[in-house]
Amino acid sequence: MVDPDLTVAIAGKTLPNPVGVASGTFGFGEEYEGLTDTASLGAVYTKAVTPEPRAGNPPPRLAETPAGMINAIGLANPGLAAFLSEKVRILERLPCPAIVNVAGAVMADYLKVAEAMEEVDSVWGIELNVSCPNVDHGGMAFGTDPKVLESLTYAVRKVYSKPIIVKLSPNVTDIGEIARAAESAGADALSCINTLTGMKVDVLRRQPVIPRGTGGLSGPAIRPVGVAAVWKVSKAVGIPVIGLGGISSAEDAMEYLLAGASAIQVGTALFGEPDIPGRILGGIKIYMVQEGFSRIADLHGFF
Amino acid sequence: MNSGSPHKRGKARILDQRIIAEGYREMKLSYSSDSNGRPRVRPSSGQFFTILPHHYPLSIMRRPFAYSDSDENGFSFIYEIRGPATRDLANLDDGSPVDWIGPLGSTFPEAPENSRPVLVAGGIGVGPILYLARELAEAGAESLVVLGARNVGLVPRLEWPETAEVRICTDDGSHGIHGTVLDGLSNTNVTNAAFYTCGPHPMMAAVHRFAVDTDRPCWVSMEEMMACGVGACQGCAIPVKDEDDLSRPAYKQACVEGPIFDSRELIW
Ligand SMILES: Cc1cc2nc3c(=O)[nH]c(=O)nc-3n(C[C@H](O)[C@H](O)[C@H](O)COP(=O)(O)OP(=O)(O)OC[C@H]3O[C@@H](n4cnc5c(N)ncnc54)[C@H](O)[C@@H]3O)c2cc1C
Ligand SMILES: Cc1cc2nc3c(=O)[nH]c(=O)nc-3n(C[C@H](O)[C@H](O)[C@H](O)COP(=O)(O)O)c2cc1C
Ligand code: FES
Repeated sequence: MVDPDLTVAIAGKTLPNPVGVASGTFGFGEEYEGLTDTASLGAVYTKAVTPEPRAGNPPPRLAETPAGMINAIGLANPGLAAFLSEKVRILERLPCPAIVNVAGAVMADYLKVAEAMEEVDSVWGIELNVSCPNVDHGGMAFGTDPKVLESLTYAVRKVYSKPIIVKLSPNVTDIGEIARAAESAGADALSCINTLTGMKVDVLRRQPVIPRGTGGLSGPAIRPVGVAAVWKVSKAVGIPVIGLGGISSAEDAMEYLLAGASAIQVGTALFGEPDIPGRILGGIKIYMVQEGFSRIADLHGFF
Repeated sequence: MNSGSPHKRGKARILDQRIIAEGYREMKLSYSSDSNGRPRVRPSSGQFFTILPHHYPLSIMRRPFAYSDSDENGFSFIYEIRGPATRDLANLDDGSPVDWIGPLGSTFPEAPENSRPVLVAGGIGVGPILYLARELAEAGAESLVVLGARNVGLVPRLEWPETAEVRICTDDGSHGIHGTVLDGLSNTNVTNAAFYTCGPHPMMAAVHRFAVDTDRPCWVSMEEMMACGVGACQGCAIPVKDEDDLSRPAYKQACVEGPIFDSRELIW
């Protein structure tokens, strides 16, 4: 049997394989040097980029929870100017596509970053982070109201010609409605899910562990939520869906692909096993060969 | 993949572990003999490694520990049993495999010429301080080591190099000097001291103030929650002074810019 075709088509461009690394867990692509092989990645999704530098939230920003963790980084990033002067050359050297995660407090922020990315050849596409639970303004607000998301996506579409992926929040009542809004405004793909709002309380201090109270829950604990979201979203839209949330093995990835995802991202599991994306890709290949699949798209539609 | 980066992921086996104080163990490991055995560079004092929890991925975050010794065959560390991951470590049999990433983070810098290293440790800070004392001894330098513990049961039983003068302080006076590490430092000529400290935050803050008052350099080893350990997640933020704009918070990453910091950089 011939090797299965692992490429993923989005808006006329292709990703070499379906296994990417999720925004915020892989920095700007160089931090894991010596621990993982970026040549085997389907894509690197960068840490969020905002127009101005952001220092982020006061510590502690992390807490472990059962089969997961809570983070409240607060979109800490060096800002657009430093991204262009320091990070772009790292992305240029990456042997895989680089997708820049874009965030902001107001619509103009997203437009400013998207406009700048239009000029950067080494950026394959952008992922709009409209679902960050860890900032006071913007962040999730754009991802919870279909009208607001529609106008944001539409505005970004006007200034950005390469693939736009809209990253959806699970913290909504009807994720299908939000997904359709993004699609109708011109999104090329959707990724889901971002973190779930979570809280951990220190019972002796009688305070939340994270100073701002809540944070974003990620890791295996959220996988069933992510798989369900991908299943619903893929039924609601015609554009490709990129699944993430708690993937730490090839079997986890297969759940997402069978539920309707065209590609996946690995986030929190990188902290434990930085080289896991390559092994997940190997596992997907073996599954496809053994089960007789030649294309990722053929995995869809069983339920 | 094999790049300029100094760290890598590897496997080691537990050689043995022993109880050194109530709730504290010293664990010795040997690098596995296969290809992913040894680190790329020898870890130095102040640096740390992370281990994959025994119950990964149910327990998802790697746990950081500072080296207390290392040579070409393996490494050691001292740990306190605090929660699930360290409880699991304590229950592992000799010979069990441990998945490590290391060496990570910054090292204790060399003391300025003609200064006398003064090493101050408490609690889990004793591991990296022991390693520093060993390195100093190897280099032929003398040092003063001041250890603080609540009571005699918590005083770590360790072998310190002969070139180190060790003073033990207990809060309840059950062993050594009655009082805190600051009491251990009184009656000491510190005019040429270079301070190195690791342990509970209030202890390090006190040593920092002492160093500032006596106008001597001071390096501290900071502990913060870590996820990636390599500078990718921005999780391990340590508040520092922003020289350009004192009104806004600035942070450094404990995992790559630390864990060792000049104490005067930090907001205490
Ligand atoms: C640079 C560095 C060096 C360290 N060196 C040592 C050492 O030499 N000896 C030692 O005993 N301990 C050391 N620690 C602390 C050690 O990481 C924790 O004791 C350990 O993670 C506890 O895990 P647990 O599951 O037993 O407890 P948990 O109940 O999970 O946690 C107990 C406490 O340990 C700390 N902790 C837990 N997980 C992490 C994490 N992922 N990153 C950072 N801190 C965490 C937190 O303060 C937490 O409140 C170091 C920490 C850092 C950041
Ligand atoms: C430490 C951390 C930082 C993150 N930062 C971002 C970010 O900047 N932008 C974003 O869109 N998602 C961010 N995320 C969310 C992840 O990309 C991902 O959607 C989520 O963690 C679920 O996947 P996982 O369970 O595989 O981690 C972050 C997650 C973590 C754990
Ligand atoms: S632990 Fe991830 S940046 Fe320091």
